[in-house]
Amino acid sequence: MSERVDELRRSREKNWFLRVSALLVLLGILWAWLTSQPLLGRLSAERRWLNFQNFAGELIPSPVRKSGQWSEAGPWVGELLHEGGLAALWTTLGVATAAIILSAVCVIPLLTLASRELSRPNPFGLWSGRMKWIESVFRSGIGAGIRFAFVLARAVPEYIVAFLLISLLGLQVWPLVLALAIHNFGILGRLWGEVAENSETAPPIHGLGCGQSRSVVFISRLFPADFNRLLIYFFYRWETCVKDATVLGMLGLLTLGKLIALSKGFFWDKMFFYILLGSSVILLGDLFSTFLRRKLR
Amino acid sequence: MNSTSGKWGRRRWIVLGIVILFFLCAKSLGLTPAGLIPPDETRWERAGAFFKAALSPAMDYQDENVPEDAPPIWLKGLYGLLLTLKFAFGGMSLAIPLALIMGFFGSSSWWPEPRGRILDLFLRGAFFGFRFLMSLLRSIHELIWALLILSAFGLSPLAGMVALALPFSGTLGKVFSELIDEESRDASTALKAIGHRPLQTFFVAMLPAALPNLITYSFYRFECALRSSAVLGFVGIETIGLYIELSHEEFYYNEVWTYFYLLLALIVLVDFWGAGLRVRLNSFKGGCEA
Amino acid sequence: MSSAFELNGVTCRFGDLVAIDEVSLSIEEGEQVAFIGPSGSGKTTLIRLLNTTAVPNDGSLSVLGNAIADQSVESLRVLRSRVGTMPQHLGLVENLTAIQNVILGRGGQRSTLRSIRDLLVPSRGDTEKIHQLLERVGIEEKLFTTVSKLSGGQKQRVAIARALFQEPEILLADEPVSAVDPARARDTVRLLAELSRELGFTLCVSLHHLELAKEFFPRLIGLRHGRVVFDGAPDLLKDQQLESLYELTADEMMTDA
Ligand SMILES: Nc1ncnc2c1ncn2[C@@H]1O[C@H](COP(=O)(O)OP(=O)(O)OP(=O)(O)O)[C@@H](O)[C@H]1O
Ligand SMILES: [Mg+2]
Repeated sequence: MSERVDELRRSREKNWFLRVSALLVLLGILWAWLTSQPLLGRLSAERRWLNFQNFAGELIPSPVRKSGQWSEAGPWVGELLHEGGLAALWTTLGVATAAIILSAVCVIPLLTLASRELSRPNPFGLWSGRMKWIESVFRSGIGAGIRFAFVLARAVPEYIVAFLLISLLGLQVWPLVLALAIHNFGILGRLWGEVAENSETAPPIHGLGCGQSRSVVFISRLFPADFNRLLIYFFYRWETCVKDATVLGMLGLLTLGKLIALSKGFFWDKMFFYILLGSSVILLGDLFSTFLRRKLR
Repeated sequence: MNSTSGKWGRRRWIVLGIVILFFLCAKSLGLTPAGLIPPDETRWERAGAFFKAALSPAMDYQDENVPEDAPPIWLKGLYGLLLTLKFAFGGMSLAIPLALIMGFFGSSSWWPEPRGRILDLFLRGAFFGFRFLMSLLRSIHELIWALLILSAFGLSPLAGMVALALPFSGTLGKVFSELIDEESRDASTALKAIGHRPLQTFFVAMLPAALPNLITYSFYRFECALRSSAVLGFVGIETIGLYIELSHEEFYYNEVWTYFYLLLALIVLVDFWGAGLRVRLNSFKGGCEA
Repeated sequence: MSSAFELNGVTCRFGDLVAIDEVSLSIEEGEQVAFIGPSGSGKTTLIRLLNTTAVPNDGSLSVLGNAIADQSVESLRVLRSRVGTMPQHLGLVENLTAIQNVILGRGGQRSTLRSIRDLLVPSRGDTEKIHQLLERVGIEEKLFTTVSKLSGGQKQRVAIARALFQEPEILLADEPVSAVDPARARDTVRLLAELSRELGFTLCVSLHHLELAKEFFPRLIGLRHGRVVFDGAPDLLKDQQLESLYELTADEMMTDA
């Protein structure tokens, strides 16, 4: 009896891929912790604590630090907002919005070709007539090709691309928009592709059965049916774009990141204010997008 | 025909609105097609050189002054990748436990039923408190966290890991709690009917049911952590990003491309690894949702 | 013999809707009872009342001699661990293995930490016991198989094994065979009835299959609009009663208009 249990235990399905993955991750973590210098490496704990206290003191707005009265913070905040804070906010939002729309516009026409179902020679397994061999080769390869392009695009770290593009195009908004658009092109491609693949198959099959072409089927059946879910992902990515646009400014453009980078080292209080400003905008964007997504669900 | 398919209706206006919004943004930001062309002679040349270099990534250092016995550039690049990986592993291994704790309090599926007034108030307080904490953590980009932490504690690799871990734990925690709360409560209800405590059903039913999704989502965030830790190179932490920045400063474009391709290859590899996991865990929620 | 359930004028409402309407009945320990009746007649609600996850708005209900209304949270929990329930949708954790699901049957009698340990490293004794149970329900070789890879009928058996591992004094099953083919349905119902006789637990099952109810259960309780319209041995159930039990009222009839 007991042997039978052992036999069953031995013969149960084992997944080597999962096991090896788990092992690799474990080794990676061990290695990361064992080979890193401890946090308190060269400086003593005490020294770092002092550093930290100094630093924390510097975060308090300078007029308040001098007079000790928080009422002085109001005009100071107004001045900072006026000096560039608001303009920076505006640019940040604009960059994020332009970028996400640009990538959406580029992804949409590719979805028909990228869909695992629609792009095949026989979409949804429907016989679609004899093809010239070249067309069937094209149809078999194009889906995987575009999906790989999505993978490449989303592997691109937007900050590094923006950095490289700025040196070529000069200090202007395009590099930021492009960098964000490329990365999100890949991500939207995958998310939207999954939506299209998981949606109901009956309407598109019916469409194809009525002699509609693939693109017409996509535009008239899949796109409207999946519209809400596509929008949900669109807003989710917009929200992340706002966050990324903020830091891209650290490369020297008038988004909040620039103001943060400029005040760093000399005006910690200003820097901290801009950080909080950015974070509150992101919180608002987060709420807005959550609200929209709830409504669409 | 049902209302969800076939007809365009309201959707047409949303699409139109989005397109118009784009032109409004472009106008307000001064985005014109002309901006896509390098503005002056030197930049034209630079752009030409840069894109030509894409076809011939450096196999050797372009820098004349590199000592003879320095390791070959690809080895240096691989070393940079290892450091990048190390940050991602370190950061994620900090972020996940934090996220599990915050996600637990940000989830409502373990709340006892019925519960007293005070307990209810307390649980709701913790729920919104932790949700807010998580939003706050992720509303600040990891680069800015790095800036703050490095300024406060001085430069050290561990500070970089913490900087990475904080915003990531916010995102992970939020998604964890949502993934767990989205799971079907059938099993948990069935177990409560045979005497399980609510907390017990959380650990034996809700959490195990959500586990595949949690794993694949964490894996996707690991991929993001790789990108982020490369970017942390730009604030002086030694990852492949630092090498890219240094080579770029000296206009060694071929070297830049070598490092860039290596980084891209690593991330694509991890992406495929994650896709493999997703298939094997039967999980379809591991997407880029956050 | 003492009674498993005592219902006295029990009424259960959802808003304006009366799902169970002044039901009084008593079920003795060791009985096998089938609840029959059309959709929406209140079978599921009755079972939820019996397993104490729903509470009567009026009337009194006692389970194994304990009046439900006076139970504290903890004593209610202990009482529940003595009553097994197989819900209509089984309530298995799909990505755990069969043994992990079955071991959860005893969770009500064990601490949270112990349950977590049970999932990770089940004890030798429990493993043997569960293997025997799975053998009894006929899926012995699925001990370490993930539940999501089992067929509907096999999942049902896992749920039965989970209920048996709990060693309940009463087993309630809500439409245990709604998802399988007729042959398998008959097999499952027979298994439940057999086990109940063999192990001596009280069995209450809600069934849509009248034939099966008549074949395996010495006592049928017919529900209609939340009221008991029939209670007795199957051979006492007349065709006429059956007709009135299941006939469609005018407003339930699907019309072309
Ligand atoms: N949680 C609830 N909230 C509101 N109404 C409910 C709820 N549960 C049941 N009802 C209503 O109570 C009535 C009885 O439902 P119940 O599920 O007990 O019927 P049933 O006999 O099990 O039906 P079926 O055979 O279709 O499962 C129905 O009218 C139903 O709509
Ligand atoms: Mg029912």
